[in-house]
Amino acid sequence: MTEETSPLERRLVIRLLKYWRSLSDGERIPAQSTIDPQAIPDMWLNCAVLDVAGKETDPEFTYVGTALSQAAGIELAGRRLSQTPANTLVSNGFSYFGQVLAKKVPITFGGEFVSSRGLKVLYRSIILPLADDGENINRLLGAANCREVAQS
Amino acid sequence: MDVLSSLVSYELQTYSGGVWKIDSIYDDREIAVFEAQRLHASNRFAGIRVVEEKFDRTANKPAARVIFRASKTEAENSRTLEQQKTTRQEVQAARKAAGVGERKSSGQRPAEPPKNSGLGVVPLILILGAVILGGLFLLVAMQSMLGVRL
Repeated sequence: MTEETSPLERRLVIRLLKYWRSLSDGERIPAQSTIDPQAIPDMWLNCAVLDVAGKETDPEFTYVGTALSQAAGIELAGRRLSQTPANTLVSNGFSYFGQVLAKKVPITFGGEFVSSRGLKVLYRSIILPLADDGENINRLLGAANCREVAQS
Repeated sequence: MDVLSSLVSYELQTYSGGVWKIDSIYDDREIAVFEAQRLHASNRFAGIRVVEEKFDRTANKPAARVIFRASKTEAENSRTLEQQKTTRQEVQAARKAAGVGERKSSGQRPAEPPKNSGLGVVPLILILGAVILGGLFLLVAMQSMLGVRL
């Protein structure tokens, strides 16, 4: 593992964005087939892939990393985003997928929510477009992580 | 949850082929600028900028301003200016060491350092002094010979 030079560079969203850019030639949106989970083993656990082809209003999870599944408390692969339990990292972290479809660019967003355990959770997520033909988005790659903070 | 309608968002834009394109969108200024700097360092684009989009509640409309800007031309110009400055300083230091005057701003060629003609300053003064004394002696001699009082 190379040594990063700043805390920002170590952040999940920055590292995944950097990886996504390495798959893109700058003009075409990368395809899901270009993603190699073995190249990003630590990030892959916090990633999810959503199928939006024909499901633009309620995408379906085709892959969910174990970290996100555990955070959701249920197995999400094969489920729709609307079936994600509320007040979880996944429900909050991927809620803005519509803007990514509209703008066709990666978007990162951070926020907070109160978990089912009554704890305040700070999170940051990123959603990146994927397109098998390089142009028309048919999948979304997302990643999210969070930390709980003591309620003041 | 709508990121783009939140109070502030940051658009990272790239300039290529004569047009600005949105590259990515952030809700965090630090992350947006960091990514812009990283993209600029990659040298893939002719220009990079981060546009802050804020909703102006007073005017009740969105307001946008550029908070980060970088381009290949700017970087090249900066490097060239720096090189010119370094060269100028080296030349001035060399001239100072050689005892040469400052270069005229009119762009004229600097005066060539005087070549060694074989005579120094002291011998010239001695010669001049001898000429003056000789002249005075001649005057006195003529005065005494001719009986003329000058």
